[in-house]
Amino acid sequence: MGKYLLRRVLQMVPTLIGATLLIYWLNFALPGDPTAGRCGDRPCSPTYIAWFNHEYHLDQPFIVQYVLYLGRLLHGDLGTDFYSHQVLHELAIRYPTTIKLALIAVVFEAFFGLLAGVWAGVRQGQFADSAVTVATLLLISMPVFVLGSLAQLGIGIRLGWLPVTVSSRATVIELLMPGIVLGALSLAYAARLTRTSLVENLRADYVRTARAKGLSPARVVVVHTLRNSLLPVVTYIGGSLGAMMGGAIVTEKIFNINGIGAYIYRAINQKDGVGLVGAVACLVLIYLLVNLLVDLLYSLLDPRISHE
Amino acid sequence: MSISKKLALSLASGALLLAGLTACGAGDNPDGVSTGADGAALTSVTVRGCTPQHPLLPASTNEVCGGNVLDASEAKLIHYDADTAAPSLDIAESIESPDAITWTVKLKPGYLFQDGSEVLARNFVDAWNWAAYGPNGQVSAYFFEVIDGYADLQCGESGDCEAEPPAKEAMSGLTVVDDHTFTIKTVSATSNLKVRLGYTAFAPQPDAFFADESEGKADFAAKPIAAGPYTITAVTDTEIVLDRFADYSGDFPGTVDKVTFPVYNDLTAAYQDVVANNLDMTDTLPAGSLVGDLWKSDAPDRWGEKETGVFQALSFAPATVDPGLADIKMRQAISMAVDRDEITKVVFNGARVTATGWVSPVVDGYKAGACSNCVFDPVKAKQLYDEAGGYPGTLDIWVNGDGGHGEWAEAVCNQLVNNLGLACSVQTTPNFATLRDKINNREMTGLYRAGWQMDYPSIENFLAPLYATGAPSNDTDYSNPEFDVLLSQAAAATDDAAANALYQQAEDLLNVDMPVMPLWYQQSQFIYSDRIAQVKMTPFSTFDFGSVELA
Repeated sequence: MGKYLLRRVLQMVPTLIGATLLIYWLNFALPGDPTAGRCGDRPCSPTYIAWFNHEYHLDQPFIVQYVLYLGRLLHGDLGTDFYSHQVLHELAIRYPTTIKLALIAVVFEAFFGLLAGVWAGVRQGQFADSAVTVATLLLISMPVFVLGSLAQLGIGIRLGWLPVTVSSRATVIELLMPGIVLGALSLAYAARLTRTSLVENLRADYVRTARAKGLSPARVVVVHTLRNSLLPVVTYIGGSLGAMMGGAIVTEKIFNINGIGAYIYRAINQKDGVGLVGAVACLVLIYLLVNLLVDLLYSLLDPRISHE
Repeated sequence: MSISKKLALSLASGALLLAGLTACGAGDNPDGVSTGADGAALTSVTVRGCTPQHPLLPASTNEVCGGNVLDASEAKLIHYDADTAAPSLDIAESIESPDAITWTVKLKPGYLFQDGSEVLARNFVDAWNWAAYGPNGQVSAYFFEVIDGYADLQCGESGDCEAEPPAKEAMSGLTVVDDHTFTIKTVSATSNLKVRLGYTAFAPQPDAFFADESEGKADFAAKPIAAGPYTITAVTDTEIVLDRFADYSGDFPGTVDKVTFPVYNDLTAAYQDVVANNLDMTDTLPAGSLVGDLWKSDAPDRWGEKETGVFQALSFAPATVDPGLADIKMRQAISMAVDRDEITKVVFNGARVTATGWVSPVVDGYKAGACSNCVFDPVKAKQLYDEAGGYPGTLDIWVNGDGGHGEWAEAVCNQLVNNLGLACSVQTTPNFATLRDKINNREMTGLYRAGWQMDYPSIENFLAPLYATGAPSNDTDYSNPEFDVLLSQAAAATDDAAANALYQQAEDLLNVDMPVMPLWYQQSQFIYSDRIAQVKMTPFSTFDFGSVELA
């Protein structure tokens, strides 16, 4: 197990380096001149363009730029973005907010998703089942910006129950509505996955045996069936945590969250390689760690899977 | 392996995950100090802010996000009237010149910086020399081009300031006479220099600025010291806080004690917050809220509108790029075929004012009706179009997709199709930078969007940078020797009225040559919360904090 963990952690190193190289190159290959939009409705003066390109090493070939970046990275310096901010400092401020948002979304997704899934699965074919199907269908078919704007207008402005936007403090109360909006889509998928998986397992032989032994229906469902049914759901939820952190761009925009999605969006628009690579590399790292956690949870849920 | 052991390991990896998360977001939250005194009589307002693109230094701030903040914190030699943009003396006691070339600037004694030191002549001269010095990479350095000796402070052609450093560190055109007097010598006659000196780039810097050893004056920019009515007390990535400067020496103080600019990444979010009274003011509204005057019903009795020095137009691609537009009759026809009144009414709900010339009405020297080709006349347009032999192929109208320009561009296109019978299509670039890039490279045929926000309220600012031969923002490669001569004559005129008359003659030449077709002048819309009883907007689209009255 320890060996397995070590191997997985070591595997992350080449993955991360590969990811930074790829992102750096993709950003480099984007068309356009980063100084083009920096001077309002006019071209920047040639002096400034020359200074800017020199300052950010944009006058060097791609590979030199990348090696310079890696060199700084080894010293723990993530560089300075086009807004003259330290990337490390920006990430330090923005990541906690985005992580908070993603965790709220995942907790909401996991709790209500499982609840709805189990409810529908146990009452297969009955009203509960159809209700969950219809509700999740509605959520799946609604784009996140529609859901977000509607929630903002209805719950935030008309009813005044929750804050309309998120301030710089990014408290849990403020993040509640965006978190729910962000988690709503995955909630629908999680509920459906749980339901399908549960229904399948409820027909299995060992469940019939358990029932025949005279165990209470609750124990049969929760202990015997649900645990086995959770494998695909856990995989899905783990993956969705990573996706939420990177994919929160729309939600962060609607609710004005100064998180990592907004930062990545800005960096891409500005063709700001240094800011982009730093932010995305951290996302990749989080994704890898979440995947590792999910793999480890497997063996906990299903004794047949072992990482020895 | 037992279940409990597995659980322990899973928990351990969970801890590892948390470690990874914290590695990416290592603590150090902005301390969010709210300078207490909720019960006290401190008054405060919040204003939509955005992330400044450059450090908060006067000569490196050329966009609204930083400009809105510096507008409240910096005092300059000249102050622009919050209502009319008319220039008046602020730090300067007098600015005089016998010939529009050599200028003597006298400062008011006892004008204080926010650190308590006095604003002296050297604070201007040294600040301007620092800003113009090539290796310092100040984006607005070119504003000092008018000063004699500017060229000596620039790095070589390569832009590599280490290999080819500038010849000098100080401009020969600036001389300190005594503590309260300095002289400026311009490269050529510049009759409107006085008006220009109110632009942010010309702000003075205290001695503390020059004492800062950090790279690019980053430490100073994090807590700038200026001489204006408000002190910048905190600059974080999520908000910028300004406190009233108690010992402010000028005549244009603010009314509230504290102004906070929370950073918004999205106009709609800020708009919704003002509607819900969570934010006090926003100076730019999302395009969607203008449709059907939604903004006026969303924030009833809490809105305002102000004519600002912004001019929107369509540039004709230079004849070298698009020979189809080389014929003057073609350009006249296209301009005449557009019913600007209809578009400003239908598309903008009156939020734009039809342009009748190339100069904004907010500046001194504006003359209505300079553009006779802008008067809608479909019959004459069609006749001119036929005489020019028709446009070969499809006429493209280029706009950037991130600025809400698609709708009016479609309307212009449709009118051209209906009135001239040509084929027209709207081309959209993903963002403004891409459009700017294509303009710089002269890649586009047809028409492209041109917007111009004045730097300083002078008729010259709407003509010289845009249409003088070889000027930096001359995107159409327009060149008319007669136009250039008129501009330099106007610049040499020591009498304002004479200068304006010459500038107007130059503007008339644009009507003859039509390098750019004017569309409309911008009005800025703003809304405010129910905490605010009154607020005014300046012709520069910023809020006038001297006019704020709380409810």
